[in-house]
Amino acid sequence: MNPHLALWLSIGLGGIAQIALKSGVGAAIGVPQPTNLTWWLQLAKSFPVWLYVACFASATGLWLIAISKLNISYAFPLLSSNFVLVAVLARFILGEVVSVRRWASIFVICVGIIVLATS
Amino acid sequence: MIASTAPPRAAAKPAFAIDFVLIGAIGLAAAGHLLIKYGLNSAASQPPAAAVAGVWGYLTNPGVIGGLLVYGVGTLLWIVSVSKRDISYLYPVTALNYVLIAVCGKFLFGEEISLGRWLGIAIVILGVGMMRGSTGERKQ
Repeated sequence: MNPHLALWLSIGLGGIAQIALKSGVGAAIGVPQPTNLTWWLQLAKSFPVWLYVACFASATGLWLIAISKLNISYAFPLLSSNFVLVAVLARFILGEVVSVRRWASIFVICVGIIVLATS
Repeated sequence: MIASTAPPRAAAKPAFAIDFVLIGAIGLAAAGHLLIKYGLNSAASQPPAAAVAGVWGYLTNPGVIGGLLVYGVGTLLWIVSVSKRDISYLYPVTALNYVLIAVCGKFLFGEEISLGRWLGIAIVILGVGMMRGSTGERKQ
């Protein structure tokens, strides 16, 4: 597979995975605790949670394909576009309120990753 | 009677607990990445003939298997975190992974951290620090 295609598919699926997870855990009833087995069993029967697992596993496999061929200093900064994608999807699909401060934080984090990975 | 003015939600206690779970999730994800990198380093000398064979080769590498297991436990903590706060808040905070991996890369693999990389690390920490003011807990 083309490593660039693998990279962008990985980024897209990685973003979709987090949105699916959030919608899945949002629908679960009860107190979310690591020790609350009832809560985990609900998640195990939730379609969005399985969508998360599938998207996440695919994204991880595609990421391994991408970084086996691409320069890590090229691939890593592009991975930070994930944060922007998740925020945009959270805003328009989940209806999360993304404040100006939060957008600014995401921007600063992306700049930091680009500086980190290209230095 | 002024008792009805008391806040109906006990929000103060879980806030600390969730920070703890989030830090655990991020730390284990970084540890998993480092193990996977260690495994891939040893496999890099054998270029895969095809994509499917390549993925199979990676998934049977001991470093990759161990890394994925650690990553899996981190993912369980991540799921608990996601249930408590906005995903648009939590997900960018995981950028601390890059900081942990860069710093651990220096101390475990002897990788050099240039001045530019330290600058990038500082900017990421600044961004995550800015995030702290918008935890997404205002929703009722």
